[in-house]
Amino acid sequence: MRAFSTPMAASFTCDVMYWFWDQATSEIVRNYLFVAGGAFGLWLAWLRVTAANRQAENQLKQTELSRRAHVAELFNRAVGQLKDKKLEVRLGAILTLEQVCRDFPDLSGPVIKLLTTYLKQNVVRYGDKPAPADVQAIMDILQEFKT
Amino acid sequence: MNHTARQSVYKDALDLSGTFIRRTSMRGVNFSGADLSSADCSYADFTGANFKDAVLSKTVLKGAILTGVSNLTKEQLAQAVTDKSTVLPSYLQ
Repeated sequence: MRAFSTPMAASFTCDVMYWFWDQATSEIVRNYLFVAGGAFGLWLAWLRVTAANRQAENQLKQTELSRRAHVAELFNRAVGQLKDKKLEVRLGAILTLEQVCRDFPDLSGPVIKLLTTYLKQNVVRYGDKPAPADVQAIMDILQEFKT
Repeated sequence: MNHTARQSVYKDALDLSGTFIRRTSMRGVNFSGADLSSADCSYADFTGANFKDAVLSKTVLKGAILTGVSNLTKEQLAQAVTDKSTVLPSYLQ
């Protein structure tokens, strides 16, 4: 290292060198801190997203359970009404089941099975008259969902 | 009644054996593998229906409209009960 002409000059040079060293060090430290902060932020975001996903999944499960409960209720009520003596009550049940098919196409299978079984178990020989409204309503469901 | 065409999600064959479904409209229904044995389908409208492998043993098809049906064979028809008023598809006339 070169000898300094005066102690003052040496002190000044040291100060400048320390200043530069400090600057460089602080920049590196700052960059590391940025990286660490970024990583921490990402981790927090990941935690938050995971929690949100879990919440959404639970919500979907809850919705599915509610849907099943609702449809099961509609189904049970319709089955009871199919035995009714009044045509309009039976027709209402069939139209409700038709709506179930429209809203939940995956349930059209059980509905069709139920209605064809109903036709088989409740044979009404209406002669040459036009088909009763309930019988034709079942056929309308077949025309729409069994093509 | 007009219906919007939907893709069928019900793949099982229909079982309408022994039913009384006279004068009903079953246009375009897929009766593939269906059991219609002993069903009374007199004057029913089957326009455009598919009868692939359907069982038509003793099925009453008097006056039924079978215009434009597909996969209906002479063998199936021979098992069914038809008369002069049964409207057959062009390929079976």
